[in-house]
Amino acid sequence: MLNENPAAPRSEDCLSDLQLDELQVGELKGEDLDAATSHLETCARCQVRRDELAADEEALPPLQLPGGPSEAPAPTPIRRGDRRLGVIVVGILAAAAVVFFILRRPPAPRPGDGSKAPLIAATRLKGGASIGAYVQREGRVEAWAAGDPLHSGDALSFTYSTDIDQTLGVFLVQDRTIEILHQDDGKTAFVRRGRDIELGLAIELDADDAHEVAVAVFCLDPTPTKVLRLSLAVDPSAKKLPPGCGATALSLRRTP
Amino acid sequence: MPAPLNIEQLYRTHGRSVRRRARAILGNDAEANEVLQDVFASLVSQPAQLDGVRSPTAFLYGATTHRCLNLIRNSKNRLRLLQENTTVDERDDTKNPETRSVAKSVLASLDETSAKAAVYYYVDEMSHAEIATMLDCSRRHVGNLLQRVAASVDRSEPASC
Repeated sequence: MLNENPAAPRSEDCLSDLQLDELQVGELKGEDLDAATSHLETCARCQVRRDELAADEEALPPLQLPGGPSEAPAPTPIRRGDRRLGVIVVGILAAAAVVFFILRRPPAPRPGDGSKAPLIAATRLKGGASIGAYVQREGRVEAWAAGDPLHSGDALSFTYSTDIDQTLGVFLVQDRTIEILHQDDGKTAFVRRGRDIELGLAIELDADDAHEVAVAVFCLDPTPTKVLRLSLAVDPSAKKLPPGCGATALSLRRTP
Repeated sequence: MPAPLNIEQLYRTHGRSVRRRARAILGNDAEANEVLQDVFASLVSQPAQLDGVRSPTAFLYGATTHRCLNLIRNSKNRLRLLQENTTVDERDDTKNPETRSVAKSVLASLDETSAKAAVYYYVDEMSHAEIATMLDCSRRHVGNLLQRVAASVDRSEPASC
């Protein structure tokens, strides 16, 4: 049925938005393509709708894969239901953390400790921000820095330092599988200025020998952690983080 | 064998349609952008989802719908939807405010399959055959689903003369 009135209701033969979208990106083939183009030539309603869809030129947020995905390492599929995390998030170990930190006060984390981690090539951290960790092993608690030995069964408790009030999200990265470990209502959590502040996040390393990295993203303002996770997914070097955000990382590679 | 899909390119070519549909379903720019990021983050993490997909557009329609419905079903979001005025978002492609009202208030009360059928029918204006393809079911079943949706719409509409 021809439709010469752009304001007329959609007829059975009219193209759906799906078909118009497929046509626009060249996914219609063969008979489907012929039928769609033939209909479009004679249907004012569909022509108008096609033009409406094509008129959306609002910029998309940047999404660039370093070197293109075909050159990137093969991502590891996420199977949230059964995926075996390399570490087990212990969570906010309220009572346990107290014991953990009473045993030994942490020394000041060294800014830049995370630079040894392989994922983060450059950081844009504000306020001298850094993260540190303590390891609990066989009943002892010791300061831990990037590069120090790690073994399955170790429990790591994280601290942070910053000279300014800002916000923090912590992620666990394995290949391109990224889990959010620390946030507040879907956004980076507020962190008050100070040194060696207990984050309330502890993880226990399991026997998985996959290379994992804890990435801390500091942002001046609360930032959706899903945005940050996407930024890290498309660019593990953390160069695509939103303005006002910077990252540092701790490699959690187990010592052979 | 088809060439592997470049997800960055896919984002450039299909990102706007994903965002447009998310806006149409959710009526909210921030959530639409969240869905946009979720959909493509999922593809970056699990590119195998696209294996054997003939139409990336149709796949993204399904993925977008699924994520939007999840958002709507979130109890906090549902409460917001129920309290929210149905003001017209100028960038919402859903031309008829009534359609948007349906998409927002009725979807939360429907089972997932019916909700998807409602989105495809009311928001995307797909035919029964297209919906059947999207849902991988028969056209007859689509008709039944849409009858269920219509009954739900009837129950939600205020009585009028």
